[in-house]
Amino acid sequence: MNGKQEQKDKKLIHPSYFTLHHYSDWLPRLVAQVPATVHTKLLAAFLAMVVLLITVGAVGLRVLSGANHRSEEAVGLHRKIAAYRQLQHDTTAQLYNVASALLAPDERMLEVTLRQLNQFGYDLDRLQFVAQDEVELLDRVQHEYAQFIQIVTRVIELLRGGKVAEGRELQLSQASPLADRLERLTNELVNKAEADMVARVEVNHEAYLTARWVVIGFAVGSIGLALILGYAISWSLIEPMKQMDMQLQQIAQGDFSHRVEVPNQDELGTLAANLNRMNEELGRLYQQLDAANRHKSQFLANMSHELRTPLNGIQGYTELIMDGIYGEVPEKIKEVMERIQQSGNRLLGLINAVLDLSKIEAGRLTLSLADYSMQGVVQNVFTAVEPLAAEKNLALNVDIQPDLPVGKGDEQRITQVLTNLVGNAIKFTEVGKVGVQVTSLNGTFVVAVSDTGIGIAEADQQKVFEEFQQADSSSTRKKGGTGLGLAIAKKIVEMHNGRIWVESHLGQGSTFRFTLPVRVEH
Amino acid sequence: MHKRHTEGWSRREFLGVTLAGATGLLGLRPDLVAAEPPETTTLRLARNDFDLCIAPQFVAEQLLRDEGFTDVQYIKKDGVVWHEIMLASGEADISMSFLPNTLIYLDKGAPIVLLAGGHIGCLELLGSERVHSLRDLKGKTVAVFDLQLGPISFISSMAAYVGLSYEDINWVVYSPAESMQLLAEGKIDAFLVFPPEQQELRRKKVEHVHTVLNGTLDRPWSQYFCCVVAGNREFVRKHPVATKRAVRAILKGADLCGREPEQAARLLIDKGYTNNYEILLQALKEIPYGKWREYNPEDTVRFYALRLHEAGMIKSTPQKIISEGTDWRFLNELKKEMKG
Repeated sequence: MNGKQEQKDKKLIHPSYFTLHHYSDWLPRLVAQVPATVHTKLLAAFLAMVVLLITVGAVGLRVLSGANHRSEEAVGLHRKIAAYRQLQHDTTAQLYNVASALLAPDERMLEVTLRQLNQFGYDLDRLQFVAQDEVELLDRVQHEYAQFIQIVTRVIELLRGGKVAEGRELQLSQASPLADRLERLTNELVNKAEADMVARVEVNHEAYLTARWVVIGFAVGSIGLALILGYAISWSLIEPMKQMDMQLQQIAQGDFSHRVEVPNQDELGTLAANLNRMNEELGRLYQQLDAANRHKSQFLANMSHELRTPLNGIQGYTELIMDGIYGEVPEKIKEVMERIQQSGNRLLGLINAVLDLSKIEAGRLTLSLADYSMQGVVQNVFTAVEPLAAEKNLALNVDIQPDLPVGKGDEQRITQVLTNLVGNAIKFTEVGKVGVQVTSLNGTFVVAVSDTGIGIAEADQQKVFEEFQQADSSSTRKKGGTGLGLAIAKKIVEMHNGRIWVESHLGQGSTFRFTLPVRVEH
Repeated sequence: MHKRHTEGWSRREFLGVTLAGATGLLGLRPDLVAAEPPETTTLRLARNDFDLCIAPQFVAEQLLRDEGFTDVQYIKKDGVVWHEIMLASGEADISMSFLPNTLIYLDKGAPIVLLAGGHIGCLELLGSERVHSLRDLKGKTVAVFDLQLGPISFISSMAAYVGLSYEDINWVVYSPAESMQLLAEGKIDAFLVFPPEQQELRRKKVEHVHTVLNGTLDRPWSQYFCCVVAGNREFVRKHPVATKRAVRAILKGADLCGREPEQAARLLIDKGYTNNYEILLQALKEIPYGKWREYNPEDTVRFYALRLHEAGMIKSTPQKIISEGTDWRFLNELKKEMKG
């Protein structure tokens, strides 16, 4: 019941923590709302990444293909420039040869010049395969060259015919300007090819820059998309699971007041819906159980009260009989009466314990907070239990840290807890000693009650704090006790915001420790 | 005839000749004269003190007026201001410009558009006895008067052609006059000269100084334009008729410089551009004007763009510069209309 109260407080502090409203990222929410199974979503994400990889690969291939194509074009341009330069060089050489031959005419030289001039036409023909885009210019070169051959042939004929002056005139007026023009045309071919190359280099550079950005863009885009997809899908799964885990923790702590709200329309959505249904059902059952428990506690409280009244009567009258108010009591009867009184006291203790427990569970036990001296509490307990220890020849050692601070709490209930622990220690110790140690650390009292008794098996160490439970049920018969003392002590300690636990090994004694805030404010 | 023209013609007589050239000598057909008038009658051209190689645009003043431009202005600013700067800023509408400079400006996104080729090889690289070829420039000291534009762009492109980089050369900044003196003293190894400096130097016959590269004669530089006709992009876009007329006048000016250098020189003297007729005439005769029909300006742009790209002076590809910074429509039409 206390746990439930704490969770209610927690809910008040973080009201939105258990809903998906804090889960503000729209993308995972969007993915979660997609009406598809987790399997389908994961498959779709995987396929998307595969498509991205294929796309990046395809872009890379396209870029490589473009680069290869451009390098082939560059090679072609190189070949063209080389061919044009060769043509330019050969043309110049031919023109100089012709000029030299005509300057000092010699029959053999004239014949060689004319033959070479005619053969040079083949070089022009060879250019056709590298200069398909400059057909017009090449045609002009060929045309001019044919004309040049014609005129030079005519000049040579004139020279051979002895018409030197006429030949020279024809050379100067027609052959030389034609040679000059031919030279410029071949220059133009070279310049055009070189300019094409410069432009191609520029285009290649720009293509490289573009390709680089395209590849980088696709790669970054793919990585970004993969990350976004991974983020969205993983968080569309993780967040609901975290919420459901939280919800299960709440349920485990007895808090059924919350619902898991996930937007998922997949298996997790179904799971969350089932979890909510289970939570509601458990909550309903828990409420029923809680009501039954409260009724039980109420009944026990009422019963205890009702039992105590006649029992007090019995005890009172027994004491009156024992005191001889109703006359002398024979020894034989006295012995019986003492047993009645002892049994009555034990029954009263049991009823008081049940009443305490009932009050605590019913939430009707309130602490009376006031300043107290922990040293005084220990002293009172020591005084009360010392005879019991002495009866069993047990040493009862008390070790209290000097200068303990003044505590604030319910002194009577704290005394009840310590009395219970020390009483149990004496009860379950036959030989040796019982010790009480009190220290204060960081605003907390730490009280340890140790004994050299029978010890508690590890499996039973939690059980001893439950109602009507003892480590060994036979001990109840043997040592007496209701099995409620430690349960009550635990609840009292927890009501003080403290903690109680046991450290023990079977046959090696036990140490019960509990902590209490020095100052309990509420 | 030539003597009479150069020595005895008055300005009025010369203008008469240019008008005659407009209808006959230079191939201008009557239907072109009657063509659509220009969208603007004002035309601003850039000029500097030293840029006599672009004589065609100064010679073309009257031709421009004949094309309908009643207000022809040659904008000159204090100090040396590259024509590209004036074209890019819109202070000049159309002008001849030094191509390597213009390409550097186009690379930077300047609103300039190349319209036609101008002339070939107006520059000359002079060297000390330690420098006989472009390869020899490695590790040598070369003087320029601007570390960003002008000769440095051209020398860098030439060096790149033989595998040298900008860093392979020690650049120092001196005026052309100082550079000549230092070169003669052997304190620098090379510097680039433009007309009329190169003609003046040649006459002086400075010892220990020789020509490393002559843009007019040495290949491949002699196969490409060094100066071109360029326009402000916005002006060209808004005034296509005016642009075509201006380009036509400048190209006619180039033809005139090529065919009648004496007349052109006389006119420039009369206009006060220079006072040394002989040097000017020599420059006009040496520079191959009138090649604008024959040479390919687009390939010139491609060639220089490649060299400047190799030298790391521009980042744009030749294709980009050609596609964004050239407009040959006017030139192509004029080539058909103005048969040489």
